[in-house]
This record gives sequence, C-alpha cells and structure tokens, in this order.
Amino acid sequence: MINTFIAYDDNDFELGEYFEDSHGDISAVVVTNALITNLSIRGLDCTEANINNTLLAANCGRFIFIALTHGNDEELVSHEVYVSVNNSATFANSLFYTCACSTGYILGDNLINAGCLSFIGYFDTVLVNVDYFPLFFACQNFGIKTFLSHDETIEVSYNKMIEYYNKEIDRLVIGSTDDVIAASSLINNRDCLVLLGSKTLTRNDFN
Amino acid sequence: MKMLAKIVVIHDDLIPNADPLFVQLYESFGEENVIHFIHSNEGLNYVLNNLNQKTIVILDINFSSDELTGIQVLEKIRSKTSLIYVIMITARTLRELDNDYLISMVNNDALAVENADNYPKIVALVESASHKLDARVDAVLEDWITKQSEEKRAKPYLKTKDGKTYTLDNILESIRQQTEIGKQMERNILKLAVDLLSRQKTKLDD
Repeated sequence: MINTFIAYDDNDFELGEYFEDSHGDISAVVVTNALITNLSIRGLDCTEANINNTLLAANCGRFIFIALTHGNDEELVSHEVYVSVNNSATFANSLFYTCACSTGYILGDNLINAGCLSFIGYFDTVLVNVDYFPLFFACQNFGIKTFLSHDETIEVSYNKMIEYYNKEIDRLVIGSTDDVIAASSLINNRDCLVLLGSKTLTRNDFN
Repeated sequence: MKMLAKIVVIHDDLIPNADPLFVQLYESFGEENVIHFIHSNEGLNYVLNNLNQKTIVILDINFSSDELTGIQVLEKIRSKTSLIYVIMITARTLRELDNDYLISMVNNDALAVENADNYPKIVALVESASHKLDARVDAVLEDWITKQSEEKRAKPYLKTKDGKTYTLDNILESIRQQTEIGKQMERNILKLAVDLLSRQKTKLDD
C-alpha cells in the first residue's frame, strides 16, 4: 500500500481556493487507486507538532508527502511554519512534492540531507494566474499524478511534467486564448522546477 | 491603439512654440506629447510620478543654484528606473564639462550629450530612443495590455505563492519601475519568446 499525505492550506486568504482545488485534483487520482491510502491535512491543522505526530503515528516506513501551501527558502508555511530544518528528519524515507515558492534551494537540500529520498519543488517565486487556476494546478500536479498512476521513475514523471507545461504554454499563446502573461507565468514556473535526490524511485518503492 | 512616448523637456532657457527644438518635436511627436518644465525639481517630480508611461527626457545640465542640477536629476531618475532614456544637453562643449559630470553621465547611462543648438541631432536622438522604447518588453506588453478590456485590466490577474496579487496594470508598472516582480516578468516574457521560437524550430526540424 502506498501512503500519501496531502497538506493543503484551504484557509489562506489569497490562495485558499486554489490550494483546495489543487488538493481536489490530486485526491481524484488518489481515491480511485486501490493501491493508495491517503490522509489529507487541512490548513488549520498544518502545525509542526501535528504534522510530526501524524507522520509518526502512521509509522508507514516510506511515504509520499505533498504540500500545497505557501513557503519560502527555508520553510513551508500555513498559518504557522510546519516544515523546516527543525522537523526535516520526520520526512526521512519520503518523496516530498510541493508547489510552494522558493523551497528548492535550502529546504529541499535540508530535507534530502535528513534522509528524504526525492524532492520536487521550485527554487523561485511561483506564479498563478487568476483566470487559469485549473490550468495552473494541472501543470503543478501533473508530476505526482503521473508518478502515482504509472510504474515509471520519478525522473520520467518530472520530465513528463515539463512536457505538460510546454503543451499548456503553447495552448495559451496559439489560437484564440492569446494570453502572453499567463504563458510567461507558466514558463516561470516550469523553469524554476527542481528535482533533488534520487531520480530512480518508482511508486513500487513505496508499496 | 499604440501608446506614444512622452517627451519631457527640462530646460530653463528654451521657449515653447518659438525654439526650433520644440517646433521640430511638436511636428514629429505631436504637441500633446511634448511636456516642458522650466524648473528641474518639477520636471523630476513629473518623471518620477509617471514611471508607468514611456518617457524620453531631454535634460539641461545647468540650472540656477537653488535647483537640482541636470546631473542630480539624472541620478535621481536612475535611482528609480533604468527604462527612461535621458538626453543631456548643454551650451558648453564636452571639454568644458567637469570630469565628475562626465563620469556621472556615463555611469548613469545618459543616452547622449548634445549641444542645445544642434536640434536636428537632438530630434534624431529622440526618434532613435522612441524606436528603442517601442521594441522593448514593456512596450510590447503595453500594446498587448491595451487590447484587453478595462474589466480584465482592473481585476486581480496574477498571484504569487508568497501571497501577493497584481492586476495587468500593476504588472506593467512593475516592469517600468523595475521592481523584483517586474524584472521577473520581463525575463519571463523574453524567455517565452525564445522558448516558443526554439521549440517551434525543433518541431520544424523534426
């Protein structure tokens, strides 16, 4: 059984709706797959203590942690910091996947150094166009959804994610949509994506 | 509709409607797009309060002692933006200018230094600057934004996952003012152009 945990900040003033819909998009894949058990953690429950206790109580060996919240170089933030160097050891033996801003440099390295197997995140500010929420979270979630749905390595899923970004970028500038800012925002997100740690993990490594 | 650049003349000796420089500027750019300030402080305030528009500044070097010098105006403009072209004009020759003035003009990216009497050259420089402005990312973006509805321009358009919200007009202002998000968007738009061209080329090569 593959154990997934999704932390999402449905309570955020600016992007609560976006994070909630992003969560729904991943959940749709998770709940229909009999190989996966999932526990979702809403914004108000995203505290360092609660995350630590939840993961320790689950005692599931290898697991996948998905974070759909704000963040910065060194930490993930909901209404308070809930992932940082303080509890990085909690994520040992995990695949860590986040859409938060700027976590690719320091937090990603800290997690890998503490035993996290692979990390996918972004090393700069991540942009979201208000008119295209579903398109933006579809790109953002594509890697983990593909990884959970196929027997392929995390690197293959990561590369497919970049291809998916390219397809949506083309769609935004070709034809009737013609939205160069939205397309350039997707380019921004695509180009600050980062995969750290193992590139050869497959979903079977979590089963 | 294409947005024309504003030509801001900050000079205490020139006479609008009479001086050949103004006559030529009016003819080339339209009288409504040429704005004259006698006092350097007022000219500087106008420029800094209108960073969201395309602007070319024609700036005298010398003003009376109770005003900012042209060099000080140039330095204050550059402290806010690198996207405004500034043409310095003086009645003196370059050899007669202080070394400090010359160094500051080079360091602050003055487009040119020209004698005030050489108005055909000054107008040619303004036309060249205007062309450069039209080819720049913020100008291309402005053309695209002006095609969008008023409603689309005014509503929240872009959010960052560090909690900030921007309208389309905010994005344009951010690029003109060279804020961090403005620089990021400028890079993104250039990357988009290169990315689309290179990936289309790859498809054609295939």
